[in-house]
Amino acid sequence: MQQKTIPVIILGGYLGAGKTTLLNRLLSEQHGLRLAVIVNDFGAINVDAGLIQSSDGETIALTNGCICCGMANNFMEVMFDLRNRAGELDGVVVETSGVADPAQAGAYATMPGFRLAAILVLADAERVQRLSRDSLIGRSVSRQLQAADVIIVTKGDLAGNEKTRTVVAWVKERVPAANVIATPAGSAPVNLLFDALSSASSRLEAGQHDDGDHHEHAHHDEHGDLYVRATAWPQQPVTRAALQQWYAALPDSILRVKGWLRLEGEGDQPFVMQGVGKRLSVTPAGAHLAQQPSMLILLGLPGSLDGVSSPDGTPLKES
Amino acid sequence: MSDITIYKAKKIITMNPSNPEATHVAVRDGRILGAGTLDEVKGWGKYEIDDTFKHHVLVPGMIEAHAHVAEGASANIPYVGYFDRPLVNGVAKGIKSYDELIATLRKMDKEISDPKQLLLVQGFDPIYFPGERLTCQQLDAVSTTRPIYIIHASLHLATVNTAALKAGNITRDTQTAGVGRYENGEPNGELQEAPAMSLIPEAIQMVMKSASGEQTLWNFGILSRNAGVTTVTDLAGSILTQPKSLSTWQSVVNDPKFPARVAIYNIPAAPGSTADWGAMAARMKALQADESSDKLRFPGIKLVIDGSIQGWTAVMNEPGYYTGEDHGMLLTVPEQFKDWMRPFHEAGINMHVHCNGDKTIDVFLDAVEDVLKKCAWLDHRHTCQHAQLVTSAQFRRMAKMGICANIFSNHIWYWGDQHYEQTVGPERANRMEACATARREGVHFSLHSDASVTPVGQLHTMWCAVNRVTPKGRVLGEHERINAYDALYAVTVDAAYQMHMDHEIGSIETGKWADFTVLEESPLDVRPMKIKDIGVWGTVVGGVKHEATRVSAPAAAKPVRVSGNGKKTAKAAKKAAVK
Repeated sequence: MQQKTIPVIILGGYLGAGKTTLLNRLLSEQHGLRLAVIVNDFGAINVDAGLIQSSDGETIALTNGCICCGMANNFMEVMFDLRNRAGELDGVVVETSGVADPAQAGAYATMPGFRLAAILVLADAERVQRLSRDSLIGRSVSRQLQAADVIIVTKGDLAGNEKTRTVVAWVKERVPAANVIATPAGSAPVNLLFDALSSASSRLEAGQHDDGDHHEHAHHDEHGDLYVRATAWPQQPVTRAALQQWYAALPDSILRVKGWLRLEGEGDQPFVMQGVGKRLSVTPAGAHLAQQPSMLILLGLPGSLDGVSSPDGTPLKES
Repeated sequence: MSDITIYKAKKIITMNPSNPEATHVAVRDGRILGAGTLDEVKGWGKYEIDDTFKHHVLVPGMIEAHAHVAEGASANIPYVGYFDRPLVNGVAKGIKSYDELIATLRKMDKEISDPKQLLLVQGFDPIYFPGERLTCQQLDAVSTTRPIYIIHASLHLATVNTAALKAGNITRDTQTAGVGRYENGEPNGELQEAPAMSLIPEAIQMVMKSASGEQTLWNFGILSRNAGVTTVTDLAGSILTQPKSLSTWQSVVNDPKFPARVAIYNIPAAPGSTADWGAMAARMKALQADESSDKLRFPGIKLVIDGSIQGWTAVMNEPGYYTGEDHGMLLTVPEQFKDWMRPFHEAGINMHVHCNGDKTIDVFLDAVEDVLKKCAWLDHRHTCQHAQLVTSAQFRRMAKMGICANIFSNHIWYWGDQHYEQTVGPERANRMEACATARREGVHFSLHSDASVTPVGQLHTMWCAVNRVTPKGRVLGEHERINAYDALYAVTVDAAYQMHMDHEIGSIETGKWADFTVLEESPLDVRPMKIKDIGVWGTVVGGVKHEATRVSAPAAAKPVRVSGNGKKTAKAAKKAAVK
């Protein structure tokens, strides 16, 4: 039996890219996830007093299940504390400072008890190009982008469509391996990156079949977020190399792939696949999945699933 | 019994320019009444002569304005570094080869009776062992059953043996970043950075235990005393972030037997994170007003804005590093840094800021300029800490703005050759720790050890600033040498100045605290190369004599048990302090 690991998202990006906006939303909305959010700047977090269940100065417990922790003392100690509460948590989000290399924080998410789900870096469409050339902080900004699995180009509303498109292309050219998408920080689909988000995903986790009766093509949450999902039922095992190739070729706007499937030449037992942005892990599945047919769930922005098929070429079913 | 003591000495160097030398100093209630001849100081009333120092030279109590309490913690963990290192009860001999390392570890292994107990040592520095890398295989020659954990001098790395890998359940399947591996994928015993280093919980527990508690504070005082330091700083204090530690500091330092004054510069937030700076400034004011004593002070705060030169993490101006990959990274967003400093500056709180790279120094100078434009505090004495690569132009800006420098002169000895050959190249290495330029441009500067990075001891920092020699025999920048008087001034008057304490300590003159460093010879009279080897009798702090632990022969690095009864070990340390 595998020990439960807590997925961790590292949130990076220079000052003003929208990290706090994104965190404030995570801390206030009803997403059904029990998250621990480790913030760099306690003061900037703007939590409605009505949401606060209790507070001891270093940790605030919220009514939506989240806890918000400061990093005043020691990141390692905070992580150890959270590891001791693994049973109460669906995930951890770590905000890094405006000049930090998120890969360094990411290393902490590889400690036993955790799993690095993704490094998510925000880039301000109006400023990121100029910042990357700045003699003082340019290197830090570039390093942040290079460390990312997913880059969200924010503030498109201020920069305009044309500028945003240019910036997305510019980022993509520099960081070809990352998923680069453009969306305001306030509606960035962070919760997509965690396991427990979608009900379909939860059902899969419980080993139930999606019976196909759910014809919900898109999910709208109360903030007007929009994403789509589809299920793949690969009929044929594929090789590990083919799987990786298929994964790498997916459009950037597909942010999450999870499920299990058989690999050609690697026995009859399925492997669990966890893909977030460019980060893909494939590990042997637990015994409870031994009899389940292969299945993958893909989650992404609207339009992202067009023309996409399963690793073995069978068509996807929107779910 | 009279309440005036007149100390008679072979010579008293006062560092008071209007009364530079004396033979007697009169002391009442811990303060100096006067220094001069016996005739000049005996008129204050009934006195007793104390001639303990009749064969010694007194200088003002030396001030170490950049050290860390980690110095006291490191005394709890056996040392296996390259250079000799003072311990609480002797000197650990430097280890110059892998064979010596293995032999020393074998000896330590035999001294620990519990065969399962982890052997934790520190200070190993692979930079002095080019070629072969230390791995678990070499360490298995010490023990295949006892876990061994070696913390490197950089603190960013550990090397462990196979038994320790087993204890930490570290295998080829371990996912944690930073686990060093052989080509075949098996772990090789190297654990890089904190996440991997934390995989062996017992080691982390031992390190954490050794870093706190009364024994550590006592060690800090004892090591300072043994080096002749009467005022020492903890320049990354944690009282703002961990208020509970205050009472421990107070109970130890205010103990009359504790042999040093301590100035704590607290960090308001872990480097890289942020805080409510206005509230922190208010708490600092409250600390200063309500919790200070004659011996324990909170002169200001500490901020850190970059890394180290030898780690290639300091932020450099053009043309950057000489060799190696530039990992320079600011720990603070420059725009935010100004906002962070402002509440402290406006509250009149002195700020000491870690700046190693020359670009980082620009960031600091710009920020001070910014707060000064908004709030005219002329006597701030904000200080550039480490100040290793300050250029002439930067020193001129510092002089204009009243910024002090605390120069890490010990680097010349400990890493001077590496700076010349690897990090910054010959020209900049020759003007690192540029004391002569600081003096010429009119910047108040001090010298420091950054203990535990290098051992606490101002005779050594002076020796470096005066001689500028390296282990390979280079003179690293002869034009930046200063004379012994200026070096002594730096570790007395100017060190006090940058902490706003120069009206209380730093020279032997009427009204100041009776803090003396008691030496066997005058640092102004010996051959410059001998300065570091001058014998230290001990110190006088506030009129109380504190004799150093006398060391006749190098002591073996004896493992200190970190576990067990903390109270008892603290008492034992205290006993050693008052012996």
